[in-house]
Amino acid sequence: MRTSDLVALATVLFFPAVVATGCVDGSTCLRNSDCPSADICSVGACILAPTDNEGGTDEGGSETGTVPDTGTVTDTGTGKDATLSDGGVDGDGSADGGDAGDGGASGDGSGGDASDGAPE
Amino acid sequence: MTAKSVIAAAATVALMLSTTTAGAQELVLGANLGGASGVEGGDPGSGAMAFRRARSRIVGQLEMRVDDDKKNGMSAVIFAEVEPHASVGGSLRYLRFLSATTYLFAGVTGVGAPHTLLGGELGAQFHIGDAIGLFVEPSFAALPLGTDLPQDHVLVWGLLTLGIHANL
Repeated sequence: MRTSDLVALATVLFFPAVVATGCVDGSTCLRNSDCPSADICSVGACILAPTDNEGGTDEGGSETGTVPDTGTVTDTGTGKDATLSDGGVDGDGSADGGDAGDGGASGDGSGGDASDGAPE
Repeated sequence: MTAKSVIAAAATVALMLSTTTAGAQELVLGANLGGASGVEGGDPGSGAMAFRRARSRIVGQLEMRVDDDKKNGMSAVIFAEVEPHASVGGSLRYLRFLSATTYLFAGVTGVGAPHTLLGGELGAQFHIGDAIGLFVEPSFAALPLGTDLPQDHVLVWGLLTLGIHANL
């Protein structure tokens, strides 16, 4: 087969394939570099990239903070803060100390959680 | 005696030089400069392949082979994706010449910046013209590795490169 024939064959095979892709949605990302520098590609869409610091702090904070914060909030709730929502929580009884603690913990973690929630 | 000695020495030197020159392997070089585009496909996470127009790129190639083995060669390629997003990459290829103007190739290709991609490629190149002419190169690449991939999916390229070829 002559070179010119091979070139013609290659061209005939490729150009329709290129033209056919015109129907593909161009907004779908296939590579992280399709997105702005602060974003990553996830399931075809660009989303805000999670940072390592936030992720690590949130996980550590919510878990490790739960136990000590529970104690702290329970203490302040019982002894001091009628103005806090813990007052209402305390109204549920001492058994809700853990719940109040959870609430406090989530409140403490809300700073981190809020930053998590934004990208999602 | 003097004249004969000089002539004999000159002949010996000439013979040695000519023998050395004839025995050396010479590197046969070729260079290409062109542009490419095509199709780019991958699974965006839906479980099905999606295709779109590949990024347009500028390509520079250097082909190398030795004159006593013109069937086999190597090629180094540098490319820059320029549109709609920019990146820089390259390829290293083994070339198998089918004729003086046609070869098949296989090699590794990838992108180095701003994110990384790495994979393999197959293709063919056709030269039109003698010392300086045109080249046409259809190629296919599959890239399963790199930070530019959002998930553990393979990105595929089907590209057609056109440009100018020169035998150096």
